[in-house]
Amino acid sequence: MIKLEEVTKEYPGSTVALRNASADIAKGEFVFLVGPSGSGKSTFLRLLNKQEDPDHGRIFVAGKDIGKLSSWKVPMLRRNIGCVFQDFKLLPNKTVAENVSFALEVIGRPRHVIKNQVPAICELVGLGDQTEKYPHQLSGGEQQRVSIARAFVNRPLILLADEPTGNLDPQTAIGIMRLLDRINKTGTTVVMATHDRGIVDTMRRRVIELADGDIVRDQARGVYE
Amino acid sequence: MAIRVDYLLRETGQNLVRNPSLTIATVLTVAVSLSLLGAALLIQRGVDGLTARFNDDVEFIVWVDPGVSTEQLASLDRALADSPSVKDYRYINTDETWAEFSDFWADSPEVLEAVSPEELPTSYRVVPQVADLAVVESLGDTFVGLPGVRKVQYAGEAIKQLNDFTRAASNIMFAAAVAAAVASALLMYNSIRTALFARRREIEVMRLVGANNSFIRLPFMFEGLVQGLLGAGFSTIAVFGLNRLIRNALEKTSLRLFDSFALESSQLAPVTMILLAVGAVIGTVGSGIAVSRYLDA
Repeated sequence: MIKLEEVTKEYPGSTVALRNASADIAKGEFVFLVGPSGSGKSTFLRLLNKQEDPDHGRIFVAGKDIGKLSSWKVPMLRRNIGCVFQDFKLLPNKTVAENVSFALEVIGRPRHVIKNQVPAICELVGLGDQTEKYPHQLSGGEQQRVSIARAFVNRPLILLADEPTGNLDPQTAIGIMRLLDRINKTGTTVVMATHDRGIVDTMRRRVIELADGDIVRDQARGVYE
Repeated sequence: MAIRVDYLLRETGQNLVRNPSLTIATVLTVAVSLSLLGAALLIQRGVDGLTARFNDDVEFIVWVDPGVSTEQLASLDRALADSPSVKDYRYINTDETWAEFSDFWADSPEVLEAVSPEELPTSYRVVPQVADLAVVESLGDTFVGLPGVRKVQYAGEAIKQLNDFTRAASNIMFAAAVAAAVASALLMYNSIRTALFARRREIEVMRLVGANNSFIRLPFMFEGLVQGLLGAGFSTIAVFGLNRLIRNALEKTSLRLFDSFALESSQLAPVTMILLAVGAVIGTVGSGIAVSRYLDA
């Protein structure tokens, strides 16, 4: 599903965010990206949906070399990749239902599809009775559920999560991880960058560890360290 | 992929209502800057009207010798009638000349006593086809040598200078209007950019879920169009108000010279059209350009 071939990404000021990174992630896998801040986890994720382009190397998503993708096809790539962030990135002046349906509207889905999918996905993430609330009326965990609903409503092949539990207390974080696990079980490939040792050690999934832009460990059913 | 109209309208409506401070700021900026442009256009048109007025008044006078013979007068009349450059002319006979003369010198009976009507030169008042001072002068010169003609007199240097002045003033006001248009474009662009900066997260989300650039741009451009038109609407009201103020001020004075500065409704219509068009174009295009900053290259 995802394949990196000797990918290097440098930022101006000669910070190497990723150096000669190669990895192969199969369909339906759940992968943790671990490592200290600045080790290249976010860059890894940003390269996958073409928010950034690598300086060297090639990246394949669903068999396609995304470096060769023309710019007008990039939106099509992103429709297959859902994104969840530490800070949720919800639109504060839209309700829960509007935040979720926004993701479908801006890719031109017909109204009847939106009408069916939005309540269903809100139910799935456990917010069926809060669809008319605004983000500021929700707790952090609930906001993250909205953002997961938005990322998943389009049934993407891949879900990228950049420290989705970073702002949440451990108990709430467990709820979010259960949700991501359920999504993974539907066949969606999940790649999650995290600092949360407890979560990684409990879930025992594949772990890719980064240090200063190098992949220093790639371990099936791994732990944080 | 076509954008859904109901989505477009709902997004635009919600964004205008839910970001009231930014909406008001943008609309007010547009209104103020376009009022500036409107005022400049108003004055420019007033100056143009003044020039046209002077040109309307351009006529010249062919003074006739008091002792002119009937034949000479007849041939002079024929020369005026035959000239293709003469639009209209009128003979002021001895009685009319005396009436004008005694009217002019009404306060000085001694002057009137010293002059008898027969001594006064009669005259032709000639209106040329082309109301341009240079043309008028060359036309008048063709009558200078004719028998019975005493002198050809033009509207005069004073009007000519005034005419030059109004022409220069009109050019200056046009330049001011262009400068006002550029200033309003920049002000509006800046205000739209500020508004979009506040909404960069929304654009980011749109990009991340895979919206096309055109799909992202369109609601913002539509919003810019609405804001531009709203602002232009307010500026139109301001221009009408300014015109009313000018009219009232002019009616209080006895000076009819500057009446052209109060425009008729039919003259205001093109100004209104210009303001609405500029508002719509700058709102739409400005938003489109401003959004591009946040889109993929």
